[in-house]
Amino acid sequence: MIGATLLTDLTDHVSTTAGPQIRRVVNGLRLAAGLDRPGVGCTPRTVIWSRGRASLMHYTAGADAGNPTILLVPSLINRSYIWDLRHGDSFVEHLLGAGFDVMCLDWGEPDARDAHNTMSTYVDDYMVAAVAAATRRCGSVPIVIGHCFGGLIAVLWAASTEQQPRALITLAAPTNWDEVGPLSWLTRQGRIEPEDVLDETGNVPPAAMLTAFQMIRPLGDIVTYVTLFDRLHDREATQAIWALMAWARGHIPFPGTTFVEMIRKLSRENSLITGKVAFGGRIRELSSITAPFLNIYGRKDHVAPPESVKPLTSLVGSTTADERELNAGHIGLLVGTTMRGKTMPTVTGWLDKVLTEDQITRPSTPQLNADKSKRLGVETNGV
Amino acid sequence: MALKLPDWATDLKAAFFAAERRVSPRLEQAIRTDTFLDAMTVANSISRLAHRSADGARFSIAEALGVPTSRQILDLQRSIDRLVEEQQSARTGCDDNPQQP
Repeated sequence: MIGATLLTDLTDHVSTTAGPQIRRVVNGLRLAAGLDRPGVGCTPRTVIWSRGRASLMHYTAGADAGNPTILLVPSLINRSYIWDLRHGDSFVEHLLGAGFDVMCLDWGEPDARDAHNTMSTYVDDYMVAAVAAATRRCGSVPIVIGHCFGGLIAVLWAASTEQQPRALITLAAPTNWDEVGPLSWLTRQGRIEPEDVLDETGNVPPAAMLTAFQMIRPLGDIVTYVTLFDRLHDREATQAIWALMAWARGHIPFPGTTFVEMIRKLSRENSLITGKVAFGGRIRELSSITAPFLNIYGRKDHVAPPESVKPLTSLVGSTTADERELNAGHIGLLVGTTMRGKTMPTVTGWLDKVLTEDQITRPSTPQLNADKSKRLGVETNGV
Repeated sequence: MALKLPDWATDLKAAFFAAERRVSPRLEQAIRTDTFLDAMTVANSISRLAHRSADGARFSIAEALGVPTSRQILDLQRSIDRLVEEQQSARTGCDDNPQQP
């Protein structure tokens, strides 16, 4: 322990006094030896609800009671700590700093017990229970922000419940699946059946998901390694790149039945674009969403391209349905300078605007039968 | 008169990114072609066939030796896990585990 501390002190000293080349070597060795791996998901939190592998985390640092609560809904394919990647580069931290009370739904790591979970399990069971737990804790229905497939879960939940969120924000939520990448093309009718991708646990193995994403940008990994090597002299940048690389490679199994349903309903039938999705014995109509809605997407998003995400804005029934195009990629919406400089001001600015409007400054009563005449606002940010 | 070389000729990083900018769009386009997707489909089918054959052989051997297969152990593990979850749910009275602060 003392040896490790001395070594760290020594490398710190060398790092600050030596030239860039020595710093590169020192930083590289430090990272390879595991002495300087960035801490991820570090914002203090408590678990306020759990079911199966899923849990609801309530971030406690800096939250003042009575502030609007935001519930973050991550995608099912990656770990949820992307919302709280590193100190200073954390979506959660910035929301807390903006005065919001923040909760995050962590789906956990699915295993064989989750292979039979359907889309309905996540939309009608987990999401409903998590929102109920959040509502119990903070006294009103939270604002919901979902990313990618998490955004779709949030949208489908809002389309299935009378108790609308105070506001609903989706980040890169793929709606028109004809425009989504290789996973969608490969599993189209006549090629690979979704069941063929499942492993013996009944889930989609992480390696298969990783391969699908690597196909979207074939040279993406090499570019990342070259960038890491190039920035190795900068300890802070090295840690940031390393943290993101570790997260991007840390896929988790995707629940098999949900995957099969997703491919059949959302990809092959492309049902979201029709505004009606049938699953769990019910038809979910996106037009029944009445909460103020913001659709954010990245112009450089390879996973959920703008053409795939844009249509969502016009499908919801909210009187306030806005969209913002940011100069960002799929993950850049959640981390790094793009998150700090573009996503966060967009989210907090829009929330400030809608929270001051009468209908939602009242403690959240279900917003039903709202005026269907829509105000569709399209703004472009980050040009 | 000195020869003015482009940046990528003297800078490895610039050379890499210059090449990447040229190659990436073509690769991304190639991946979208039916030929590539068909090749992936065939590769996947062959891989599954090979796995299934290997599994079949392994299971036959295990059965002949009277030892359990990995699939049987996994099924048993799954049943036990489900039973434990049901017991926990019954103990808490519902599916949820609300945590008090």
